Order: sequence, then C-alpha cells, then structure tokens
Amino acid sequence: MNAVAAFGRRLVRGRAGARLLARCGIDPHRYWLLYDLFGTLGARQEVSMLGADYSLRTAALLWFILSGLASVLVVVAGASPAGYLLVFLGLTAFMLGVHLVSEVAENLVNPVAELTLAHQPVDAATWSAAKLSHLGKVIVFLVGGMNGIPAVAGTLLDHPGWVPTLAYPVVHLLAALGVGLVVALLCCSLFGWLVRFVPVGRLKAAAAFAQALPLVAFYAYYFARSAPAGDEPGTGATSPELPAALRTAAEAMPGGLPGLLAAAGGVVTIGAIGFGLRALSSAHLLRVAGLMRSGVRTPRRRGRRRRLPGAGPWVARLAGGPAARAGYAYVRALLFRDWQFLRNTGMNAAGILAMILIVPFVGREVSPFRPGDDFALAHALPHAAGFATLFACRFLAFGNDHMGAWTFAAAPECVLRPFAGGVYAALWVVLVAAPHLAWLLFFGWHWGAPDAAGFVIYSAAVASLYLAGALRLTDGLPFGRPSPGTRTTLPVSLAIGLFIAGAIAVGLQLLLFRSAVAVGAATLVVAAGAYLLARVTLRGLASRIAASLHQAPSGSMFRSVGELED
Amino acid sequence: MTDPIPAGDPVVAVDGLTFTYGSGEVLHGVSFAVRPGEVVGLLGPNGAGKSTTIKILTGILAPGGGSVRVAGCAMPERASEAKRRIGYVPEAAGLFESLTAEEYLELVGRLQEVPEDRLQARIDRFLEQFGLAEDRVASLDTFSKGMRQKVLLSAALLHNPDLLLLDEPLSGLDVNAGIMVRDLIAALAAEGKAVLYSSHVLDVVERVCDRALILHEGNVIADGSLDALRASAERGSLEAVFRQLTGTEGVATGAAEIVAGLRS
Repeated sequence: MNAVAAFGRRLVRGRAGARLLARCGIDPHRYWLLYDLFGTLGARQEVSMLGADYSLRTAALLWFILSGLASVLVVVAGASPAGYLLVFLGLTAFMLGVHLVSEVAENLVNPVAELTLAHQPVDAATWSAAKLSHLGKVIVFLVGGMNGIPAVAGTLLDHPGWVPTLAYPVVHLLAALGVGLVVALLCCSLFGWLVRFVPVGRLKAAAAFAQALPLVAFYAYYFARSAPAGDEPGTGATSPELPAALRTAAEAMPGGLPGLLAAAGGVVTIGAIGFGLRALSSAHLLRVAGLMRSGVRTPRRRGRRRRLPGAGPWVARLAGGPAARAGYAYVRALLFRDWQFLRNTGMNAAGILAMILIVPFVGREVSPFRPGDDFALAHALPHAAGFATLFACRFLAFGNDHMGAWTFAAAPECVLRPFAGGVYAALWVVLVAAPHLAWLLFFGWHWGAPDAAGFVIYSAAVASLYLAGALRLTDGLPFGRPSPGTRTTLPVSLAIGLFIAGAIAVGLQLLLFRSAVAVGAATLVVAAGAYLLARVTLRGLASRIAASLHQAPSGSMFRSVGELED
Repeated sequence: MTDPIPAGDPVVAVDGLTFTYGSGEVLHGVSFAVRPGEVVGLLGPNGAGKSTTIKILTGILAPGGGSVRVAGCAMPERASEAKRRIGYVPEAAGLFESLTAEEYLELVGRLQEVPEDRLQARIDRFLEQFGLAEDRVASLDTFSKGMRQKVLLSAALLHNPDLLLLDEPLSGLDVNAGIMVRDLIAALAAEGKAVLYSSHVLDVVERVCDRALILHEGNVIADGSLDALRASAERGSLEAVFRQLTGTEGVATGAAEIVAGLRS
C-alpha cells in the first residue's frame, strides 16, 4: 500500500506534473513545499479546523452515518430517483457551504500564516494554488462522507431508465463532487470578492460575517416561506408582467423561464467564480499581510477627541467601582472587534442570531397577550436571546489578542470580582438591553405600548436569567486565550437539555400570557432569580479569571514576555 | 490608599529566592534589595533568570522558596496589595490590538482603581508628553513598536507606583523618546521611586543606573555600585565586568566563524 502511495506521489510530483504546473503559471517546487507546509500546519491545527486528518475523518464519519440514516428514510418514503438525487445534492451543497466558508476563511484570511510567507519568494498564483489544493482534500472527504451510503442506497430506488441502476452510485458521486467543486469555488471566490473590495482593516470582520451567510440564507429562506403572504398563492394577482424582451427570450429557451433563469444563474456563477478567484490570486499575500501590519492600507484614525462615557459611569456606580467600569469597557469594545470571537459566534450562533432578527418581523402580527387561535412566534424570542447569550459566553474566553492578558496578571487580584460584574454589565447591555429596546419600539408599533412593554420586560428578565447562568460557560478571562484548534461549541447534552427546557418554557408561556398579572408576577420572580444566580456565577467567573491568570505563565500567554527572554 | 514605605526600608527585599520551571531550577537562592530612590540595573546573559525574577516581583509567578517582600508586602500572600505599588513594563508584551491607546490606558488605570478624574488627567498628560495625543483614538494595531512601548510606559505609571519594573523599556524607542525615558527614570528616582531596570544594553544601564545586579545561571554573581564594579575589572568598563563575571572574557564571539561559513 505504501509502495503504491509512494509511486503515486512520485508520479504526481515528477517531471510531468511539474511541467503541467509550470504551464499554469505555478512554481512546482514551491507549490509542493507550500502544499506540504499547509498539511503540516493543518495536522497541528494551526490554520484550519478540518486541517487535521483525524478532524476531517471524524467529520466525514459523522456525515457518513447521518446521511446513511437519511438515505434509508428517503428510500423507504419512495422518492423518485431525481428527487432523491436533488435532496442529497442540496444537502451536500448546504452543509459543504457551512463547513467550507469557515474553512476557507481560516485558510485565506489568516494573517499569521501569510505574514511568515509574505517576504518569501512565493508568487500569488503558487500560493493560491497550494491553498486551494489543500482545500480539495477537505472536499473529497466531506463529499464522500455525505454521499457514500446515499449513492449505494440509491440503487434500491425504482429507476425509470434515465440512468442504469448499477451506474447510479457513480453518477451520484460524480454529481456530488461536481456540486462540491462549485461550492468550494464559490466560497473561495466569495473571499476573492471580499479581498478585492473590502478595505483590509474591515476584512476580518467581513470574513466573520461571511461565515454566517449559509445559515442566515437558510433561515431567511425558511422564514420567508412561512411569512404571512399578502395574497393567496397561485392567484397571480400581484405577479409582475415580464418585459417583452425577457418573455421572448424565455420562449426561445428550452425549459422556458426556469431554463432561462438557470442559464442566467450559471453565467453569473461562472463570472463570479472567475472574478473572485482572479482577485484572490492577485497580490493576495500583500493584502492579507496588511491585516496584521495594519495601517499599510488603512489610514490610521487620528484625533484627540474623547469618546462619550456611555453607560460606563453607571456601571462603575452600580457594579463596584473603576474595575467594574474597566470590565464593562473592555468587553463592550472587544465584543465587536475581536476576530476570533466574531467568527466563533457568527459561525455557531448564526441560526439563533438570524432568529432574533427575523422572528420579530414574521411574528409581528400576533401579540402573545392576544394569541387567539394562533401561536405567537414572539414566545420564542426570550429563549432565542437567551441562547445567544449562551454562545457568546461560551466563546468569550477566546480572543485574537490573548497575549495582552498579562495586563490583568499585573493588576491586584481583588479587582477581579467587580471586573466580572462589568463583564456581565457589558454582555447584558449588548445582548439583552439593546435587542429588547429595539423590540419594544418595533412591537409597540404593532401591538400597542402595554402589550409590547409587558412582553419585552418579561423577555428581558428571561434573557437575563439565561445570561446569569451562561457566565458559567466562560472559562477564564474574556478574550484571554487562544482559540482552540478544534471548535468549542456548546456540549451536545447541554444544548439538547436547554432546547427541551426552552420548549417547555414556551409551552408554559402560552398559559402564562393569558393573564397580565401572572406575567408581571413571573417577571418579578425570574428577574429576582437572575439577580441571585448572577451573584453566584460572577463569583465563579472571578475565580476562573484568577485561575486562568495563574495558569498563564506556563502557557502561551507569557512565552514572549517570559522565560524565553531571560 | 496605600501605606507609605517606612524610611530606610527597602522597596524590594529578596532573600534566598528559588524557582523551578518544570524539572529545572532556574533561580538558586537569589538575594538582593532595592531601596527608594535607587535605580538598579538587572543584567545577565540569556537564560540567567532576569525575567523570572521580575515576574516573581510583580506577583505573576509565585516564588518556589526563600522570601520576597515588595513594598513591605510578603509575596505571594499579599500580591494583590503589592501589585498596586508596582508599575511593570514587560519586553515585547502583547497588547489588545483592537483597543485604542485611550481605551487600553483606561483599562489599566481602572484595574488599578485610579479615580476617574485623576485617571483622565494623567492619560491626557502622558499621551501629550509621549507625543501620542493625536493617536489616542487609533487602535493599537496601527502603532509602531516605539509607540506601543510609550503606551506600556504610560500604563505602568498611571497609578503612581512606588516600584517600577522595567524590562528593556527603551526597546523600539527613537532617540528623543529614549532620552526622555532616561530623564523620566532619573526624575522618578529623585521622587523616591525604586526602579529595577532589566536590559541587555550595557551602555544604557551605565547611563541610567546607580547600581548593577548581575545574574548568571540563576545566581547573583555581582551586586554593587557601577563605580565599584568597574574598578573591579581590568579594563574598567561594565562590558568588561560582565564578560569577566559570566566567563565569556577572551572567548571568541563566533562572528568570524559565521562570516567564514558565508564565504564557503
């Protein structure tokens, strides 16, 4: 087996392979050096989530099992072969999009790796080709995992003859690989567009938001479908008339208007991929190196003007003095600026964040106080906001600039408790107060002030309770640790338990909201619970911050200021 | 409010300090004292234990053995009190790059519980004097190394500490800023602050410090005024003292071998 692999390796890396690469404008020697480097870095989990073979194999195995179960269900349901194929191609496209946007962001907008190479004699085409080849391995593993069993199970379907039954697995796998390739190219080109058009200073943030795109698109599509329509479907009462030229083109096209739209979509996709990849490979190293060097391309903001104090003085007064204000200002600032936090939260909580944005719009017609026969979607909002706090607290300990954490080790330990109070205040203002204020205005417009105020105050109390408990998930100083190589999301058991608890709470709310007095009483009880729980969890957070600072000298935080300098 | 240090008492008193990283002891019974108004240079080759000593004094590491008192506070038991009286400038320290200079200084000042009006006044003055007033709202990732060093120095002084622990504080500073910091150290010493100044640049130590402490392989091998140390060496320079004490006198630096390697 090893001999075969060695032979294949010699063949690919031999003279013929080198000539092919050189013909494409790629330096073969440096291409293979970089390809091996990215593989090594990935295996050590320095650059990508799925870079390590075992992570990739685990993800592929997981999809192998899940898609296998799904394929059995679809086969038993008696789907048509075309529908069956479309289901799995759609699933592949969506899930690959979710994985790859993150993977590509990690690979292409990772300034640390680029900085070490920016001054080396590596041209952009060679660098991009090596990066894309590295991603190719991810695609093959994931597509294989997602479609291995479905391709074989597809032979059990009743094939009408458009593809021979025994050839179906090959057709299925080739189609899935094709879809995977298109999705991968789209993901890469998306970052090409970002690199081309987004100022380098904003690139990290843009990439973080881009990672949430697949899930946001999914939720937007899902909720748009379930949104109350203005007209009866199918009446065509408000369908716009097609312009004459478009109608003629549609008639001339095989397949009519859908065919025309598909062709137009294909052309746009190819154009987008072409432009994106071209933008990505041209001077990408220079642009991305600018991420770390900063100021190379972004003008530095200058000025003596002081910022307005905001809620800082109030936090200092209520939560324990200057240290509380320090915690508030620190977390409040970095919540919106820390790349690692944004990308972790954007990726893992994209669905929840999309819910928070979309549910109020979709559920604006039905007040929870007057549900009638309809279920008020707003009932889900307190728990969606609460879940958002869980994710935020989970990822809060990881940051881009964790090397700055020594600052806290040099501060008196007794300030950590009020500092933790400031952390809570910042999270509460950003994750609880801000969205609830927006909801108060929005729902006040639709439901009237009394209903909106009653619901929003209750919802804020519930979200505060979640936040108070969620602080237990913050494992140390906020933004004080390097992001773990493998994604640290909520433990599955906790997520399932909380989901069930949230569902039960929504059920209880249906009963509770029949009486405004009951809602008021529940609000007081929940708010008191949130206050008491926060007192306990903040003590724990302060202890964990202290512990993380004590552990730090032997960890990465002090390596650059520590023993290596002696 | 912190208690004043009794007259004549040292700000730093280290006696028989030991420390172990993993399986190897890196400090073997280090003893020295620093009094108010003294500027002491902490010298030593790489791996001598300078930064470990400084981290123990800041309360970041707990001593393995011996006794350490900073501003009268036993370490690590009263590290929290001691930290209020220490200003620390690490070499090549990481910063929160996305904070602005103003935000970072506010963070440090508030962690040291400096009253808000005094904090803002000091931030204004320090940024002005270090020539960073125009950059107060710029994020730190746009700062040059020298500008970062100025921010770190400002942060170390915000709470008016009794003891300054400076690890290569002139690193990255331009000539004018370097002169300013040297004058600042002298002025702070005249105010009664104690300064422990760790550096590899012997010329600067000669100009800044009253006394030098040389560490070698975790031991104090020299502790005395610069004049006394110079007098003890044949060639009368701190570099000669350093090379003599660390056993590198007369040993080839290896530069010639490297150049020979380039020729081959």
